Amino acid sequence: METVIKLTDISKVYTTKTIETQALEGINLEVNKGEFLSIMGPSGCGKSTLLNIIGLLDRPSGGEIKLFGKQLVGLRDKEMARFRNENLGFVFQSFHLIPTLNVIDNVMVPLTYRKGAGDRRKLAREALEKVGLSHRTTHFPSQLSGGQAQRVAIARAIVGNPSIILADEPTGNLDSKMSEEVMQLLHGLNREGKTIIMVTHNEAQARDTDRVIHLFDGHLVL
Amino acid sequence: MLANKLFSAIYICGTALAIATTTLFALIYYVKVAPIYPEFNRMKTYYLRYIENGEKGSPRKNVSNPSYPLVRDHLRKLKSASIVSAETSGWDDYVQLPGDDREIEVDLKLTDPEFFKLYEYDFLEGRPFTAEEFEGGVLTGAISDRLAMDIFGTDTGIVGRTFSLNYQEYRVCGVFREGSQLLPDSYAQVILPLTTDEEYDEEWRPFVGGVSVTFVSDDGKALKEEVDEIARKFNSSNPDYEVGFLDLPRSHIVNVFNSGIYQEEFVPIRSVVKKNLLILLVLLLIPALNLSGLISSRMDMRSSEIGIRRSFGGTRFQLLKQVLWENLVLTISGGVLGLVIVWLCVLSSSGQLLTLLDSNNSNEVVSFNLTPEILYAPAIFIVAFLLCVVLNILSALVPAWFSLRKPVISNIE
Repeated sequence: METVIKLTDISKVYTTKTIETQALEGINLEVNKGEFLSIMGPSGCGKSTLLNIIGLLDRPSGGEIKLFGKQLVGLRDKEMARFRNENLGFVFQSFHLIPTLNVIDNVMVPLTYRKGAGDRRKLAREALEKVGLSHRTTHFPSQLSGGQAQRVAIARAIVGNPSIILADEPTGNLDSKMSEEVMQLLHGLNREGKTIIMVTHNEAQARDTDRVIHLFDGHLVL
Repeated sequence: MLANKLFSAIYICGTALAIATTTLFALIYYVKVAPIYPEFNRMKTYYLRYIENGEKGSPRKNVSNPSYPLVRDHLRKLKSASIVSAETSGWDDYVQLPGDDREIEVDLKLTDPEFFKLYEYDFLEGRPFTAEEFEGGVLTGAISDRLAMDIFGTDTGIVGRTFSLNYQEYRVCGVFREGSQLLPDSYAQVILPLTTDEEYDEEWRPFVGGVSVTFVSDDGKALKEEVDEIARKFNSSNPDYEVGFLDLPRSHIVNVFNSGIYQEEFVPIRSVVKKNLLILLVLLLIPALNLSGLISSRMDMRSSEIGIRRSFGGTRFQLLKQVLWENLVLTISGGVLGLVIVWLCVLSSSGQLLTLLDSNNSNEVVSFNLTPEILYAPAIFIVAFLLCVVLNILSALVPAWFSLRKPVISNIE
């Protein structure tokens, strides 16, 4: 199995003038290509912090991150941005669609920052078809239900064909029916070969994934 | 921009006010300093207005105007001046309207043919008076198109016709496009040969008379040396009497900022420029700080969008460019509005607003003629655009940069 993500001794400390908080400590983790991994743990244990570090949205205080064998700690902003653009797709709990853009423009955002992306509108439409929302292209986020908004967010995450999808509690704001739809989409993407790392509180959803890791007070526990 | 109409409206109005005040400031000085119809030679123009004269060694001297013989016999021979023109303005001059009891007050200049080389008036019809007409003291003159309309009801087909000025008949030799009273050195509605005034070459004392002299020269320093040499030669050959050229051909820009007679009283141009740049900066900085606060709070609201864009591959530079570009669209909209406000204010004040910064504002003119060159000057467009860019950078760059320095996840959350 090819290892696509390798974390070595990752730590994260948040420092204010008076307090130092150890969010993560000594995290070692390998994720294989095509794996669907769940991260679980109580609130505040560092799940999202870990996901953000894997997604290069936050910098670790110590340790090494290798994605596809490439050492990423210390890369410049431009290189990080390019790496994110080409290899990573994000799905957030609160969807984080841009409220001033309509559905298709939201989905096109990753392609805006990619050279030679081809027909961006066509690719965005294809991504929306995949999540069953091709009829909603001109709607604005405020006109969508929670489930629809999350499906648009998934379309945005996959439009650039990244190898890894990082989902931070993707069903956290959805009812059970919509959660089921979103999970089906994620499993479908995993079957197509995408590597997925998902932070969740939902044990049933986690059980359906390939592997579950647990975090407690910033440490990996078995 | 369209998503937050209130923000956009406040931003555009704030920018418009900032641009309006700074552009008005620029316009005021543009009218005073820039080459503008018909004063296209301003950068090379020098003036000699005052002569100090009196008994040698006396601490008290008279201050008078130069005489026409000084111009004719000495100044016209200067090597460093390509044009030397003498003129005097009229005082309480009235044109009598034909077939009407009414008469209208006019601005009159008595001058020489060189005046039309110095100030490049557009002649709509006819020509300036000639050197022969000047030498002969012929009662002929050029009048402005607006005055032609007042006298004849038309500004065409009137060359050769006569008009009455101070109950003296003059023949029209040409009709020129009227300038503006905001340019008092060149402004006139009637331009007659100086020689039509019987006392034109009278000298009360050597070199002392009643004209103003204007030069066009490529070398102000050489011009001053040559003029000083005239005074030196004269003083060395006169045991009891001496003269001095007090303001010693003063350049146009010095003239704009100094109404005094003595050189020692002149404010150095550098300090005037410094003071004005400071005023300009304050006029620009205060709204920029306000707008910066506005943008800053807007950036907080847009922080999530910036974070999302960064997470999907937008670099800091790309996003900074996007914010500046979006902001520039707003700033330029504000700039256009600001320009419109300035024009409306200048027009509605009949140009009075352009004399706002004049320290010796004893002008009795209540309505200034505003030529297209004053209102639609490319330089003012450029100034306004540059102000927009500066304002944009000042107001948007700092908050955008601070926002983009945070980790991506801080933007999103």
